[in-house]
Amino acid sequence: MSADALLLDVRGASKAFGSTTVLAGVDLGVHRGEFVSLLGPSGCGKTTLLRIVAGLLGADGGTVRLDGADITGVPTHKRGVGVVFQSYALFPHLSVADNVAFGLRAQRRPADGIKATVARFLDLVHLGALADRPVRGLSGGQQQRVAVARALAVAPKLLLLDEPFSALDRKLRETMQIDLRHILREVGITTVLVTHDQEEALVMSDRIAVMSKGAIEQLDTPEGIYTRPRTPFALGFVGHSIRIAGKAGQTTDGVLTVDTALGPLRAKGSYLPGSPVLLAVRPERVVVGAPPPDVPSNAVTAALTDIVFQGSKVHLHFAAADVTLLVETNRIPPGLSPGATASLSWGLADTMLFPGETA
Amino acid sequence: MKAGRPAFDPVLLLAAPALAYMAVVFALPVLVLILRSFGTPTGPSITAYVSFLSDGFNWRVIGNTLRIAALTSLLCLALGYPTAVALARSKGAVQALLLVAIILPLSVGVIVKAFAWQIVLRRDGVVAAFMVMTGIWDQPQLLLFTESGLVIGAANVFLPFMILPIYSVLKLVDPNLQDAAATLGAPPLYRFFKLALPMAMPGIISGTAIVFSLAASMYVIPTLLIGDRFQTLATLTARAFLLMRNEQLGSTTATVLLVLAVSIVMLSSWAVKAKGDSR
Amino acid sequence: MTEPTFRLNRRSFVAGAGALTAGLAAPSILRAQAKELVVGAASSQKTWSEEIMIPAFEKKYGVKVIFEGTRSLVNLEKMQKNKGNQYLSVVQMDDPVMIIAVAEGLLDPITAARVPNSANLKPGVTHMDGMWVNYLQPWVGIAYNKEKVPTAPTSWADVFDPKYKGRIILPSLQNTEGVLNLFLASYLKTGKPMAEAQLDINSAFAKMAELKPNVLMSYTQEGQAYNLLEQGEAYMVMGAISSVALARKSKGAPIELAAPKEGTFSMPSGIALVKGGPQPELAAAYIDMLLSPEIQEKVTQATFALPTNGKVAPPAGLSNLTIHKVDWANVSKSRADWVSRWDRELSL
Repeated sequence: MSADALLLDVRGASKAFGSTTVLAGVDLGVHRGEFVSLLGPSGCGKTTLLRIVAGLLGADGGTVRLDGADITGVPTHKRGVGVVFQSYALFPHLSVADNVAFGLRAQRRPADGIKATVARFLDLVHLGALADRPVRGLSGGQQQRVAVARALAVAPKLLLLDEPFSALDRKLRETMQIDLRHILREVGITTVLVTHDQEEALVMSDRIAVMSKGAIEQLDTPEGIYTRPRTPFALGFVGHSIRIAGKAGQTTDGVLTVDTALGPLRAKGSYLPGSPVLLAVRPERVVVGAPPPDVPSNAVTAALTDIVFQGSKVHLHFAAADVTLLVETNRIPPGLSPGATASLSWGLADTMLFPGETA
Repeated sequence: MKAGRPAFDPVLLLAAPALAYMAVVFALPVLVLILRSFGTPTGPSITAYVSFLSDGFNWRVIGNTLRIAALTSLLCLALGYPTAVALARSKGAVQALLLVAIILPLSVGVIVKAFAWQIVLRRDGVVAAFMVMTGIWDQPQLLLFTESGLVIGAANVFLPFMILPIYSVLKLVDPNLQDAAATLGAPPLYRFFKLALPMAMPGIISGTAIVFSLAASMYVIPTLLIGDRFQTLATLTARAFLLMRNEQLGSTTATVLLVLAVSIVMLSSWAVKAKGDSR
Repeated sequence: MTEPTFRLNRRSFVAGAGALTAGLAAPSILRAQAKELVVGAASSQKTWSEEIMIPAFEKKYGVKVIFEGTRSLVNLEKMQKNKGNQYLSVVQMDDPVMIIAVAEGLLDPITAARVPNSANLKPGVTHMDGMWVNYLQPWVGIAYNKEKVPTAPTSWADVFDPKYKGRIILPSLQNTEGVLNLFLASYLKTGKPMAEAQLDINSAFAKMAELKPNVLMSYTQEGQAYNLLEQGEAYMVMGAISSVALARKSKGAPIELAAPKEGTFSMPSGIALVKGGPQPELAAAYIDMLLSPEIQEKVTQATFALPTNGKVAPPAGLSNLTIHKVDWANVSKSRADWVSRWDRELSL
């Protein structure tokens, strides 16, 4: 993909509050029409990055380009970047329709055009019937849709969503996520979502930027991040995993033997012998029982400590030598009960290898 | 559910002691005062008002009263609104410091302040020195015993009563509203007039109402800051009672002041509300 | 303080409060049986009364003096409400209030037979055939800041000098000394004798209007006025009372009080016998002692006033100071009109 296709191009954005570095020279490119999530725990700098893109916060260094133009020093109201805030920030003294019309009026659009635009966007979010209601009495979901309609009505080049679902209960959140994705696709707007919720990011995004300590650890498709996490942080923040620390041994034919508390295990890769490494595998890649003989695999023996039934799937918790091993299956294996030991195995291809922490 | 709800909320009883107190020490005396202004040896009459209002000098006094109250409110608003914004946006130690700086002067009596003003507003005082130094004035001028000096002094005393109501409203406003308006393409002035001001308006109305009423009825401050040569309804009232022992004149001027202050406060809040509804 | 206040209000109390008031009034009966003398005076007279006059009197007569320091009009009300059953024996009130008390028949005349020292009083301090006398003469003059006005003013006309633009302080007409300024202004304008000039109030206001450019402020609270004078913001106070100005000077304030050559007035300070008051002999003795040369000397020193007993020498430099007589009846009658005229003609 060429750089020309980037609608948003952030280079080297940095920000410090006092002696605390919040952003350490972050690059972020978002393509036209793309949905990108900034995913990370609180304090990782994702909201700071969003505010810098919106112009609500000045960066200490770096540039922000939007649609080819450098907007680093441009004030917020001239940027054409829409934001849906976590609190929705609806104007409490105005009706639903006046909230949506606010930006259009502020930009001095012709009056009859405003009316039509407001009606169109209220219909888009299914709130046409509530146009004249004060925003105070609306439910959380309705308020969020007003905020979305308001942000979209001024036709921004880029839409930023700041934790827009965190105020909603879980059931509503899931519906709203799908709904919002539909609406945004219909409008065809480029969107950046800030969230700490990995499932939200997985459901909505074309690509996810996993952030930690003021830096983007990995920017990839949801599947790419899940199956090929580049760092232990990305591994841990997206999805469950079994993590086994060990020491690198010999590398033979591109396969490294690792000494672990569970015995020698193997992974594709190469490290200096003796250096600390981390092995990981996704729980659904693990099978209970002996490995198939013709596939290169790792196998360990562990004791079952707990069975958690979760409807469509079952979580089996195993333990061996202070390592917790989570196994995900679709049914409880017959004859297995807590206290029993079993053999667990997974393919060499499913074994992920990371540099370990120097103790 | 509605049918089962009692018409009287027992929580309202919590206000009973204050209401009873106010009825005895405020409402009753005010009622007596108003009645007295209509009392003549031959029965109730409005002669006191007719003679008061047919005297041109008294209209000048009414003008003085309203002008000083309006200018004081305006100065308090000009100084108080930005302060309230700063207070609402500040956090932690800075906010605590600001609050103390605003509230602490309330504990200093007007008399003490008046002596400080004398030092500050004198011909060789700090303000005059500053104005001459910056070239705004050619030569030192006296601010004491002028209307400007009175407004400066009164605003000094009443400023907290403007700041605190605005602050208490602003602190409940979502700080993201301004940001949201900016992201919608609203320029700063538009945000101020269409968002910040309407949001602060309940606080501005109550602050202005409080300061206006206090300034219209102040007695000690004009006595100390402008003296006997500038009469307001309040100083006229005090003199009628204390010096002339003319209770009817005193009750008449007091009632005129009461009616003016109450109606101006009510009119202004009604006007602002009407303007808001027509939008 | 509390008991007389209750007694004063007794009749205005509602019936339910009657029992309470009766209880509080009881000590007055006991008090009458013991040897006591109640003097109704002003709170501003408390200090010298309690330090000089009362100890001397109590020592000589072996009685207890109860000093009720309030205001002239309060004393008048006390006498009005207790007519026929007075508990005050002596009152010290302002001259205009004395006129009312005389008209209501509340006072007994002071005669040389009952009060021997009254025979020695200076002319002009005995009023209405002895219905009351002035026991002191706190005189009014021009207080000035010694640094700003190095040469002492000698005439009331000095205050009108254009070089004092915005530097002159006047008392308001609410203050009695402010009223006296009107008479002085009329005197300057007309040149008539002071007794006539007092009645020509149009000339008084005409002259006062000439003073307007010089007026810094008109005070009701004298403390503020003296602060301005001592700080040098104001140069002169026209109508400064000796007992106030000289007391401040004696405490180190850089001010002086000038006695203009035209003569001046004294502030009201009357004393009288209450008609039908208890202990009439002691009451007369109290007044006699206050008018005696020994006490006059001490009290005038303490209050920077002039003595009224002709046998007592006035303070140095003031022996030629003429004290003109004020027509207090005229003041009482017209003061409200003057105040309202002052508002119109001397306002900012």
